[in-house]
Amino acid sequence: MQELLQLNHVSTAFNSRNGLVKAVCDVNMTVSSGQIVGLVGETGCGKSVLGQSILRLLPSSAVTSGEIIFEGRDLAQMDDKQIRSVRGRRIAYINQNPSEALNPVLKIGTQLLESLRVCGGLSQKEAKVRAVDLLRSLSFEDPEDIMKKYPLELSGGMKQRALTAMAMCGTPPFLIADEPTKGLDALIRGQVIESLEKFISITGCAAIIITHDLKFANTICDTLALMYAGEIVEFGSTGKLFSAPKHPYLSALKASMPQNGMHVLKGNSCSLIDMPEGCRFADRCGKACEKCRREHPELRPVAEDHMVRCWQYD
Amino acid sequence: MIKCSILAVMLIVIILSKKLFSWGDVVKLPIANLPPSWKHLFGTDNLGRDLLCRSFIGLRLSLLMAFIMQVICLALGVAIGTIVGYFGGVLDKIFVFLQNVILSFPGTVLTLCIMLLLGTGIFSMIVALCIFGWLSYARLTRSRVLTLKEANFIKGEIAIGSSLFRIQFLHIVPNLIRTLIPIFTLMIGHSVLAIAGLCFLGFGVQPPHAEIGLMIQDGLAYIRSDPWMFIFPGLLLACYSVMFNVVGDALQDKFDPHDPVNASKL
Repeated sequence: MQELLQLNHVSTAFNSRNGLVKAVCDVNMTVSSGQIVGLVGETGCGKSVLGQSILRLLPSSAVTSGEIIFEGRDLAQMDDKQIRSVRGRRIAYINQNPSEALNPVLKIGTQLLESLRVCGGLSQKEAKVRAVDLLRSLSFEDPEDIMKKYPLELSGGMKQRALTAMAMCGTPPFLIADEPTKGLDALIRGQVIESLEKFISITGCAAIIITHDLKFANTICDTLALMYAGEIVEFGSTGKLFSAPKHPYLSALKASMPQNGMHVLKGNSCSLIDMPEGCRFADRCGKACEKCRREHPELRPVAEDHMVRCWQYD
Repeated sequence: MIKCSILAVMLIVIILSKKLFSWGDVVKLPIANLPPSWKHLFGTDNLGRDLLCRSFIGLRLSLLMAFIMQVICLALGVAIGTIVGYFGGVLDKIFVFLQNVILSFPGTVLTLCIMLLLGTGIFSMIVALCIFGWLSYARLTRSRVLTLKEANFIKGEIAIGSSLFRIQFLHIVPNLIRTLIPIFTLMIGHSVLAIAGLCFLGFGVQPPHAEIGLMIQDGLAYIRSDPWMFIFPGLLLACYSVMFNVVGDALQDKFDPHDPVNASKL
């Protein structure tokens, strides 16, 4: 398979009053075309920051280092004009929280047509036809009617589907979906998963799906990257991670899922400003030993398509 | 809704006043200084002109100037506020400094000074008032843009590769309208008073043009014998100014989506 996106030593930090907040530390990852990678982890572990770093959507207080190679070009080195030609056209981004991701004072049609004209380079007339097609392919029953509505007239699931339609405008080969199921009820979540699956099957794109919903990640992703305190701690195919979790954090996460008895992991994630010297999970880990607290583990392969950052498997 | 309709009727009368009332704006010395009667509701002035007619024509000029001035201020304020709010940094610091400097001057005194420099006349009055007027729009716009630019849909817009220009004019400015309409209405009410005040002091419009502040000043000379000459124009001016304020307030409540009780009124 062809490599589409390659992250080499990507780190992102924020300047804050209390010091440098290291939100993402030294992430290495490759995504091949057609591959769906899930970024999972608890709130504040840096998954959204990593997603936004790729498209350089972070505020100016963020400092990103490392290489983000997409289709042979380094996104981190591009000037504003070049990165704009990648955004939307080559890499689509679906925002978290659909109720805030649409401009409240513009009609759905206006916003959708705008995306089509910006990303697809279509004329107003062509864009209209295409917009109706797009909305219909995302199972809107009356696309013309939807286009005349304002975002407040749509339900959460419909907004999510409208957003998905907007992301599809440029038929991009790569998609970043930031917490597409966050704060949605079960019914809408179903619709969202459906619309994402449609997106992927229609465009045949590769994707990074950022979520903290393990069940959702399990259904849609073929590879999972588990993040903890800014680092990837376990990486591998979804099946392997779920059937044989290696990192204690993943086991703990699995135990905390409602169907597994909701055993909540105690303690808090370590501070992102002064990191512990050793393993970042050591304080919450039941199996932590002296070495874990002293030395920082590396991400090492334990099996085919399966890497773990833990001293246990050394 | 009632408040808006009343203001609308009042505005229509003002707009049509040149047609409706020009019959009364003629010098007829034999009927000078008549007290209010059915024929001349507000009475007549020292040159025999009907005061009702002249008040409306005078107010029309004041309102027209206020409107032009506020449109200029709005355009300037929104443009500056959006740019400053969106880009921040040094620009923002300069803006805040400038704002503090301008706000620390007593408004009327500075306006008078500027008018002394520019000379009297309609044009210089509008310029002098604009020097203050844009600031209130710019401040409001800036603070809205500061919150808007962090909004998710702006990030989404950046993510589809939109140009800065498109983001500013297609997405940020439409979101400002809700905030700016009530202020615009309120500010027209305020600036009508300011303009009338300047004319009252003898700046701005010069006789024989009818202007409400000027008429009140004319009436002052007859305050003992013929008080209607300043009372009625003054009352009319007050009515319009109050009405603009009331409607501005109602609009503000209406456009504030956080309070569902207010949204049903107007």
